[in-house]
Order: sequence, then structure tokens, then C-alpha cells
Amino acid sequence: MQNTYTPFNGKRIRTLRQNPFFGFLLIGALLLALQLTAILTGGAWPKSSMLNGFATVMIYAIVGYGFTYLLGYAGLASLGTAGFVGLGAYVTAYFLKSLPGVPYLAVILITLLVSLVLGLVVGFVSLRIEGIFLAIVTLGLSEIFYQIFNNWIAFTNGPNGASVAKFPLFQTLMEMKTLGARRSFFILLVLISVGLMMLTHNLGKSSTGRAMLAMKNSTSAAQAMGISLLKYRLLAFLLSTAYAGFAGVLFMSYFKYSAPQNYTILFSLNILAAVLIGGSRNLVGTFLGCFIVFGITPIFLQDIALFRDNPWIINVTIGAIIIIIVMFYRGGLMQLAGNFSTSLRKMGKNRRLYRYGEDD
Amino acid sequence: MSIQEILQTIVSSLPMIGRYALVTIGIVLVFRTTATTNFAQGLIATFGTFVVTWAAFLWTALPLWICLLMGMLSAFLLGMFVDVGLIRKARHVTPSGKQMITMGVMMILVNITPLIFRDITIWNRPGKAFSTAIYQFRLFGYNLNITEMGLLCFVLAALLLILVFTALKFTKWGLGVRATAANESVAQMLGVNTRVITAFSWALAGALAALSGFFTGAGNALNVGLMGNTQVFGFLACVLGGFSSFPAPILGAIIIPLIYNFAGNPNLLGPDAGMWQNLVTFVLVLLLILAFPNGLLGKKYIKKV
Repeated sequence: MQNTYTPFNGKRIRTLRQNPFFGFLLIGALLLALQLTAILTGGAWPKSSMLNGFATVMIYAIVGYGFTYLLGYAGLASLGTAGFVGLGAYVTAYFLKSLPGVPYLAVILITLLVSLVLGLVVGFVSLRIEGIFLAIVTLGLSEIFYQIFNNWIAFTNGPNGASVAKFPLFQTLMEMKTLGARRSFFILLVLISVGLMMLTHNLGKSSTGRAMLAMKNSTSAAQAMGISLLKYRLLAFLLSTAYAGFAGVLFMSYFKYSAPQNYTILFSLNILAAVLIGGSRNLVGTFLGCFIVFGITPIFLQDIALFRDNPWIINVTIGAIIIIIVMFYRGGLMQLAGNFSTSLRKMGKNRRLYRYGEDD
Repeated sequence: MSIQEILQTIVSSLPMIGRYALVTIGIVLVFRTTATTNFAQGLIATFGTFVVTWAAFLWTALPLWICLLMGMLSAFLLGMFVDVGLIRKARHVTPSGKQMITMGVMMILVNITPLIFRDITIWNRPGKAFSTAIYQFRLFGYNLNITEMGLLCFVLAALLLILVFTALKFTKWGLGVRATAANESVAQMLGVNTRVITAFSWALAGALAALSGFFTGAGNALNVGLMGNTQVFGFLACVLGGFSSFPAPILGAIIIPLIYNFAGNPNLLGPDAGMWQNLVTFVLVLLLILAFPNGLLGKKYIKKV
């Protein structure tokens, strides 16, 4: 290929920005930069609580990416997410604690397998029960999981919560110190997060994603075009539960503790809210939504007394944002941003028109 | 299990049946008029229960039933507000979208309610404790008993349900509700004020749920999670009975408490039955729903393309 020099101007940046992966890589780069700053400053800034906040956002955003298959592509509303994340976390905890000989990768695979089996079950349920009834039934399913987490003491350690002593991989295999292992795991999380964003984006743009979209708009029309409802509904649930289970694995591995109270209906609602705020199919938006719902409090507001003592302020705001977004901006935050930039452009155009008159 | 025990379990389920039926009828009214479900209903009921307690604390001279009416009125207004202020404005939104709006309301109420009623946590106030009397009677030669509050709950719920169903059948409002349920735009064309009908349905759902909340909370410590279980089981009862007619969900509201109380019986499911009671109930109800996805009394819904 001929080596041509392109000057670094606005046009080049614009073409870069139009690349679908630009947003994902930007998020990844920013998060890596944060961790590197922490390493360079010896932990002075950002503090570990802030980094943990970002880790929470990343992990829950993975649940959100899985949820976009359901809500954004297939148009199925499920409230059972919390159960699947919890399941992933508890299976991981059980293996890491009781069977330390099993390699980490095998643990991940086993957890994914368990999640997939359950996803299959829920997928079949979704074939019989539709629309808002599905939300109600999955709500019941989520309650079943909660009861299991709370009461099956031998497996989950009940209300006290399950815990793991060491970071897998970095501490068990490479024998790092706790701090180093946490930093390494954070970097791994960033890589996984960006990778999954790309995967989700590509799958959404593929024929699979298009088939799901067709199914969302009209099941009958989709069937008439030869799209198998069975196949794509099951696939949507399988993907979403696999993501949720994987997020559970990552949560347990990074935070090394989880309690049943994490996995109530409120968690499912929060994930739903995050995906909605993001715009239900926009992955950068989903990340931002997760940041608003899960991240703002631990990352920024922890140090401000007003918000630390009154957690209701942020929760009520989230509730209000959900209502406003559903009522006025179905496209979520990204649509809002798009509208804003369009109107800015229009304003600029009008101003030029006013100043210089119309072109002849 | 002896027959005595079976009969006693059924009798002990009566208060729960009453509480669930009150919530269920509200869910159906809302669903039939707006084609959505109100996830905030449990919180609206909890709000009403808090109001009852607050009034009872503030004006100790006031008889409890007036406080109860005040609580029901507040839930009535709150339910109406959710419809008039939000759902009516979101006509173009899909049913699932409306569901999400009510989830947003739920998130707001969960956080606001304990804020408003900060100091009220314990239900019983001095000098006006609830009746703990137990009422005994004989049926088919067996001695059975039920708490006085429970009996009151069941009788009140039954009376109110009869009232609501009679109104649905014979009054102008009932005709309007049925017309709106059948087809909202045609009802509108024929001169039914669907806005008023819908708003009143939401409001009534709130008020009845608040009554249910009052009996759920009576004698216990109050918290915002008061109606959580009732709400979820109420939804499941509706799906189980079938959403397609007004009385069908009541069947669900009768079956679920029976399953719940039998599942909690240590003679039937071992000494740990109480711990797994919720789980067993959920699993059985979900299996029933899977077996009858249109509801026990529901008709198969054929979609027009």
C-alpha cells in the first residue's frame, strides 16, 4: 500500500469518530489511564474506592450488554437478571472456596454452562408467555433465586454472604500481592469489557441481531419472513444469561464477597433502568447508564456528606430519569445527546444565515 | 395430615386470601382499563398504611377506622395521580414502557416514603393495640379457630369484592369500565369518558391495596418492603387465574394462599418447611402458569395480524 501522509485535521478525527469501536476503545483507554495514574501516584489518586466503583460499573455494564439482546433487540422484558448474576457469583464462590484445585477457566466454563441451562429454561418459558406477563413470571423466578441464595446455607452461606479469600488467577497462579492482583484484575476487566462491547456490537449488526429486531417489531411478520421465533428467543435468553453469569463470575472474583441482598428485584430494576437510560441498543449508552445508576454514588458522591447521608437523592433522581426517558426519549441518553448536537448545528446554521445571508 | 389440620389450614388461609384478593382486583382493574400493570401499587399501598399509622399516632383520640379511611384516601389520590400525571401523558408508549414508568414511580416511592414518615416504625400505639382475640367455631364436627383481625380482614374483603363486582355489573361506571376494557377508542366514540374511568380504576386499585396493606401491617413493624410479597403474588395470581375476565384472577388469589399455607406445614414438608415456604409456593405457581399460560379460566387469545 502506498504510504500517504494525511494531515491530522478535523476530517481525520471525524472519520475516526465514525468508527463504531471508537466509543468502546475510548472508554477502555480512559479506564486504563485511571488505573495507570493510580499505579504511578502510588494510590494517591484515584483512590481505590473510586477504582472499585468503576469496576462495579464495568461488571454491571456487562450484565447490561447481555440485557440489550433481550430488551433492545428481541424486545423481551425480563426481571430475572438479578438471579442469574447471583447464580454466577455463588457458583464461582463455591468452586473457588470448596474445590480450590479446579482451574479458574474451568470454573468460568462451568458457571457459563449452568447459566446457559437456566437461560434455556427461561427461553422456553418465554415462548409460552409473552409481553408483560413474561416480566411478571421472571419476577417470580428472580424471587425463587433470592430464596435459594438466602436459605441454602450449605451452598451460599445464607444471609451472611459468600466470600473468597484470594484473587483467582493473579493471586493463586502468579502469587501476586493483594494490591497488585487487584490492579491487574482491573486491567483484565477493562480488556474483557471492551472485548464484550465489540462482540455485542458485531452480533447486533449481524443477521442474528437483525432477525431479533424483526422479531421485536412484529413476531408474525418475522415468522412470515422465515425467522424462527424458537431459535432467536432462546438465543436472546441464552446470550443474556451467559453475560449475566459471566458478570457474576467477575463480580465474585474482583470483590470476593457477595450477599443475597445484592440480588433482589431492585437489582434487576436497576439493570433495566441502566439499559433504558443508555438507549436500549447503544452500548456506550448502556455503559453510561450503568455509570449513572451504579457508579456515581461510590465514585463521586461518597465524599460529599449531603449525598452520603441521603442516598435517596440519587435513587429518586434515577427513578425520575427512568420516567422521563420512557415518556419522552425512547432512544435514551444517546438520543438526547444526538438531539442536542443536531439542535446546536441547526442553531449554528441559523446564526450563519442571519449573519451572512442566504447563499445564491 | 389429619382432616382437622387440613380444615384448620384452609381457615387460617382466609385472611391471606382476603388480602391477596384486594390487591388482585386492583391489578385487574388497572390492566383491563390501561393494558398495563402497576408495579408501584404495592408501594402506593405501603404509603397508605404509613398514613394510617401516622394519623393514628398524631391524633390519638381518632378512632382507627377513620385513620384507615384517611390512609385509603391517600392511596386513592396517589393512584389517581400516577394515572393522570404520568400514564395518561404516555399514551403512545407501549404497555411494557408503561410498566417501566410505574417501576420508576416505585423507585421514587421506595425512597420517599421512609423519608416522610421517618419516626414511625412500630405499628402498635399505646392504649389502642390491635385485637389479638381468637375466635373459635365448629365446622363438620371439628373445632377450628381464626384470629379476630383475620376474620375481619376476610369479611371486609369479601364485602368489598361483592360491592365492586356488583358495581361492575350493574352501574354506569361498571358499564364504562367494561366498555373501556373491550375497546378503548370505540368506548370513547360512544361517549364513555375513558379518562375518568381509567383514573378511577387506578385510584380504586390504590385504595383497595391500601386496605390490604393495613391488614398486612397490622401488629407488625412497618417498613417499605411491607407489600413486596403480596405484590408479586398478586401479579402471579392474576396470570394464574387469567387476565381475560374480572373474576378469574380472584381464583388465583384463592389458590396461592392455600398453596402457601400448605407448603408451610411442617407435617407435610418436614421441619424446615417454614424456611422453604416461599420457594415452594413460587415454584408450584410458576409450574401451574406454565401448564396454563392463558390462565386457569382464561381464553386463548388469538392475535390479529
